[in-house]
Amino acid sequence: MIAAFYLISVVLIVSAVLAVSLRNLIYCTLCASVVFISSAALFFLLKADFIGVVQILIYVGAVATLLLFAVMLTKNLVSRQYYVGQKRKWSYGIFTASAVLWVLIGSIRSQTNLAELVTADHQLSVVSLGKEMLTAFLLPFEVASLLLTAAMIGGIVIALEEKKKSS
Amino acid sequence: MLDPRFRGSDIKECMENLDQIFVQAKRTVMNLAESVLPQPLVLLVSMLISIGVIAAIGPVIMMYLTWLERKVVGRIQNRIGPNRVGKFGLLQPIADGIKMLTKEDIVPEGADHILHFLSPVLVVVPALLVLGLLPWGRNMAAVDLQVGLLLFFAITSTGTLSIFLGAWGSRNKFSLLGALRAVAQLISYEIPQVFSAVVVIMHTQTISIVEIVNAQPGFNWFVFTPWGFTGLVLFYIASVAECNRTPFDLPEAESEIVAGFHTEYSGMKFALFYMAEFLQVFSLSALAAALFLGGWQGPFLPSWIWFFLKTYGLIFIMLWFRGTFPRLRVDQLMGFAWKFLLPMSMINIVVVGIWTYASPIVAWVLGILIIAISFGVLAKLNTRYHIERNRKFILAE
Amino acid sequence: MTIPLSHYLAVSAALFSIGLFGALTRRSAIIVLIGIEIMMNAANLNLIAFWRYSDGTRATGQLFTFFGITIAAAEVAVGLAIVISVYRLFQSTNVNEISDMKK
Repeated sequence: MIAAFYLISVVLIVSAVLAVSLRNLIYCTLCASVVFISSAALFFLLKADFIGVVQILIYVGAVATLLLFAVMLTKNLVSRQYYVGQKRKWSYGIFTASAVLWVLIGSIRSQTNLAELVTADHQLSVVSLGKEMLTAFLLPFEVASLLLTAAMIGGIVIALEEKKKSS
Repeated sequence: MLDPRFRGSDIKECMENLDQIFVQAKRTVMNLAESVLPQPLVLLVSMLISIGVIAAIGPVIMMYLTWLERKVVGRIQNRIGPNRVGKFGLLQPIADGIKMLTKEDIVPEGADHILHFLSPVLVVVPALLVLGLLPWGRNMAAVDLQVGLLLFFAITSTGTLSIFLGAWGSRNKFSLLGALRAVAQLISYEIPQVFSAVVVIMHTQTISIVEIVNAQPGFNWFVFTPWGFTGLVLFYIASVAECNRTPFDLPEAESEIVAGFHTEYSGMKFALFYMAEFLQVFSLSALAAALFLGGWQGPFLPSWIWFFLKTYGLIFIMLWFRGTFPRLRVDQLMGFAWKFLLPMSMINIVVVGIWTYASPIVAWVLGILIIAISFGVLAKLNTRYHIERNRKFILAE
Repeated sequence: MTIPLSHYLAVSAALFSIGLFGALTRRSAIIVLIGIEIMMNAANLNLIAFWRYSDGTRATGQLFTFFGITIAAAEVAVGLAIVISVYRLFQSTNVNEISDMKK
């Protein structure tokens, strides 16, 4: 269990680094899906089975496929144009990111009472999760469904080709 | 060891033993392991046995599905099918395997080598993983997860990604066309597939596949209810499309785009794609059997025999489809998923809601009425052109 | 021995910084989106970790993550639609080149 956590964490961080730093967009997307799968694995380790499965279903099944589609639709297949140049100075980004990391790690270290927390030996059943979702969290649930509908319609409208122009 | 009720009749006792033969075998091995190995290793051995059996049974299922397909389609087309290698051609799959292994592995010049290699590997992994979730018989599921059914759909949905990567890595226009079709098709048909499985979840109030099978004891299979029957038909059609099989085999349509997403694959890599497809055929048929046909539930025969009977029955229908139906057009394919299957599965959800709260007779009458009317309306709406009644069909018209 | 909560939080913090780095430095709009997704994943990991180390009788942490994933999916759908329509207009997904208000 402990070994599994560290192994998954290493995979997670390495693939995240690769996902944002590789030049080939397809490899970036592939590494991103490894990030999604390994965070789902961490969810399983944390006994959040349902969320882990939802993570795989949505991130790997839908988001990664959408990303690949977008890469393919926006780059030319033949001319290998999907390589993105590396002429940019990365120092600002590294500086900002490491500053944020420093602040976050510092704040985690300053909270000494974190070590006292232990995992309770409980298993939340899917049934009680669903009951909670439709009672205490009914409003966010409905808002989320509204948001998804709006996003779906919005996505179609934005990506729709204007027919007047082409004719 | 046995239930005392069965002490009288030998046949029942024998059947009971046969029913649990694999469970007993594993228990024997585990007892042996417990006496020799320390505790943490025993758990590992237990896992390894399950994993080993699943990993070994996958290729065997695939090999004999290819044989079955060739035999059945051969019979439908008035041929005999493979009959040269071994009795009834039973050794044909092994000969094919040797042929595939010794074939040259061709990688196209411009291909992305990493993706080209990775794709067939990644496509087999989900196909093998889901076998672990299936209830093969009484007490015979490798893992009984609380969220089993959802995990099944989650794992199968990742197959899209690897098909896409392989086609992209091949750097071939036919591959890419096939992959585009495949992705569009898989995403479209996943929705009615999940929706038609929702009725079972609503009725049994669980997402565990094992629990769902336990909820259909004896002959109380869900297929004998209006919503169960509709659900099975919808789920099965969507499953056929998910496996890219005829009449939904547009992603690999031979007469249009060579072989679709696996055009540039040869040898063992091609065999892996083939294996993933057949394993998916098997696992989706098994899931349909578990959800609507009671899985391993059935009288007299051992549970695992029932499981295989139902699964292979469904697979046979899939092969029958292949021998009978012509391929759909792309617009027909998409229209069928979005305009017929999806509304129908939503109506089915309403029917199971009524079923839960109404008295049996009302539920039966209302259920059949709603399904029949909505089927009629949807069929009418989806018919694009009116077929003339008294039209005379002349040759070469 | 169990894993302390702070280790999960550290992993999540590292993931967040990596995502931030990607979103800030890369020029391709798609990688910027991937960076944002990685950041959201880090937040979700945090929520689940805190849920696990709480008394856990209520599902609040899990449901927050669930809604987070929902929002991320919606965001990706709209974001990629925008990327595609922008590409159609500018023939590029480079965020630096897309600076004109009208074309």
